[in-house]
Amino acid sequence: MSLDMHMTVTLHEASHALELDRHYVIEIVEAGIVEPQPRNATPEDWVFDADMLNRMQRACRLYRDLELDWPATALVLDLLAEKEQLQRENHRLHRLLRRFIED
Amino acid sequence: MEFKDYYKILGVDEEADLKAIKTAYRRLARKYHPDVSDDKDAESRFKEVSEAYEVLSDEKKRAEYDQLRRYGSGGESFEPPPGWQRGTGGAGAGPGMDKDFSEFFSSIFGGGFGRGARGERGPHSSEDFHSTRGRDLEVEMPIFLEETLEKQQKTIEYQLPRYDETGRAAPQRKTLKVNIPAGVRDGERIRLKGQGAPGFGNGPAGDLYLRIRLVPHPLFDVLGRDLNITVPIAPWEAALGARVTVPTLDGKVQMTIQPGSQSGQRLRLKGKGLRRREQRGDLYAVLKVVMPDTINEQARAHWEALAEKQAFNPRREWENAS
Repeated sequence: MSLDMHMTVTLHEASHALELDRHYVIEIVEAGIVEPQPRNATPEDWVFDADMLNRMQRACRLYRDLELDWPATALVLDLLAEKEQLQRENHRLHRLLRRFIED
Repeated sequence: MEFKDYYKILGVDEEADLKAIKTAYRRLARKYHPDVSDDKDAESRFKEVSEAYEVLSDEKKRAEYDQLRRYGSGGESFEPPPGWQRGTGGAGAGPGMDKDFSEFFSSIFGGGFGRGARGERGPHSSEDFHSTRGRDLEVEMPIFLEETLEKQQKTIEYQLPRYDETGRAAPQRKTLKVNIPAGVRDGERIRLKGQGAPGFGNGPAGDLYLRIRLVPHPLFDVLGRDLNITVPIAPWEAALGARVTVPTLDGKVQMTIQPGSQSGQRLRLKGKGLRRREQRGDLYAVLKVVMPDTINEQARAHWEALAEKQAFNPRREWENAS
């Protein structure tokens, strides 16, 4: 048997997977931590992908372990994402530079 | 088992009040939180720190711990004194906790409880111990760039954390066949529902996340859905133009280099990049003019003739600058 992937989940399933009551999931969305699709839909019609689930999990850990509120959690996640993006960009430019400049 | 000095872990003295303990925890949590830190030991350091905080921030547990510390911290290895009554937790060791604390912690306090458990499931609460969902697991999945063009079947092996009846860890190897969709991106997570750690009691299993890692390619660098390849060319190919054969992810293609091309110039090979949904990104060929390692006498004469005949100052911009 092999498993197919790229699953998306509803609010109910996300709440189950995160072990959070749905109103917390709604709070997370309202803080702008993830943007379920389609935009402007009612919570019942929201669809989350695996990256969103993962981001919400990280959000919960940060919220709990660093004793943050949701807006601060959103800011931390944004800054971390930006840091990761810059690290990737830096890494890529280093690789490109190494192809042009011999040590 | 090793005695854990929670005061040392938090860097506070024995007389520290709750406020000092909180401050120390917050400082260390920011530093070692696995979601924040790049430190290799972050996860184990953070576990130690939160375990220490769990104990020292709770008056009752702290008193129990202090009592044991006086009893047992001197020796090399630690065993709770005979007849030691496990603390307030009362549940068995280990599984099901969001925070899996050490054997040392479980031997003193038991396991399976966390801070702030309440009637509803919130981000603070550890779960109801008797019916707990298993932990989610994450496994890195290295993928070659070539493999992202089409759907791939892959076999993954990972350790499933399990506990025997006595609560001891008895991990189990698990093998799964998975279909990786075409067009996956570096860092993307794919969720396999119910393939994580088994639940406890009536709780469902956690999920497994595959984290896609694109293996660095010797020739191609990834930029979003586009690729870069550096194409070395001879000075005369740059000057006169040429047809060169360029490797792509799906075979070789011919590319025309225009006369008078420069080093660093980018040429686009449309549709030869990575797959994103139904579309393909582009491959950018970056030209790099390379000199031959050696120049023989005959070639040297040609270079000299060229130097005489071509009026060219590559450092003209410097003249205006200085």
